[in-house]
Amino acid sequence: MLAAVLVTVASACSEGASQSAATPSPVAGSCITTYANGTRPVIADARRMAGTRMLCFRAFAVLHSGVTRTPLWVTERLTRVSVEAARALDTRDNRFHAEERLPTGERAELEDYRGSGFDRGHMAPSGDMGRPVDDYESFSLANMVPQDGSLNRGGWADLEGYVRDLAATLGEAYVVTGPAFSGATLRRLDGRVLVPSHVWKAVRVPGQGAGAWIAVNGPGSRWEVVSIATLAARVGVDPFPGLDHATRSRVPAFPTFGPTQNDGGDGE
Amino acid sequence: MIKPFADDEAAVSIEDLYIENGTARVVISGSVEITRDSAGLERARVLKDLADHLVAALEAIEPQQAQPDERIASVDQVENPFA
Repeated sequence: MLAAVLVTVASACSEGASQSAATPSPVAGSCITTYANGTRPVIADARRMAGTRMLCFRAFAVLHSGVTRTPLWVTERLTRVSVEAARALDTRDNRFHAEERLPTGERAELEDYRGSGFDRGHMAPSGDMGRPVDDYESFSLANMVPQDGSLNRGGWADLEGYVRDLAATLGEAYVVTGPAFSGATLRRLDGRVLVPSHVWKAVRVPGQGAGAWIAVNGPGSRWEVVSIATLAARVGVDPFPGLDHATRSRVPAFPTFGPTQNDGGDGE
Repeated sequence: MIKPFADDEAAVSIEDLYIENGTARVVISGSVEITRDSAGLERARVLKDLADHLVAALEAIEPQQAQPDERIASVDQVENPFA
């Protein structure tokens, strides 16, 4: 099992050449290389699939919803080599941008987030990207959801670092990240972009196991560690459809990066 | 390097330290290790560059302009289309 694999990896001290922001035209990458077992995540609910489009980037793949104007899931494959490359990219210089491949009627614009009080939260993190071109693509709003600032900059950033450490230690990890939209009502930015109630991240290490985190998208966010089966039931996305029943049902011994559902009181 | 307060889209990171530009505010979060070597020196120089740009941009603001003219995006509540 993945269990208690948390190895602190010394930061690579690279020669930090400053990277200027690349502005490549988007090129369809190969989405399938980011899918565990070559199988893409599955959303069973037809309402959630309405108005969706697949977007392939070089280092990650997105299923984007024109209803929420956010991704519904984002897939990545991390390896020891990719994590080392990302750590070597010491200084990054970039720009958030609307996704030009999406029709204006479906996509989020920079104005939607401006002054909203929400962060533009990466689903595939910038810190996973080992090349300037990949890092630039990660700043597409098609890879963003409105995320609580304290969560995005705190526990969620710690989780992203943990997953990189996991991939570097175990050699390979498939990662699927996305928003959840639960509850009778949702907040909406600028009359356009839906604010997720939760954000989640699922990890599968071939031959080792799988599991997921769900965090409330708000201040003092509550965290849960769940099995892939529970995640799929809760958020409506099955990140790893090919996974065997036993592995799907097992709750991993992952750490959390904020207070859990069982903790009393408030706090970070 | 960002031009502080010039736009809402530029972002820069130094190891795990993230700096997001904004017309009303610049947000800095995360952490960075300054090692006692040439890589640490390079990071320290980028940090100094950032601090110099911030101070210069703030010093250039006339006192009567100091109020941030932040556009407040509307946040409303809608029925969950998936519920």
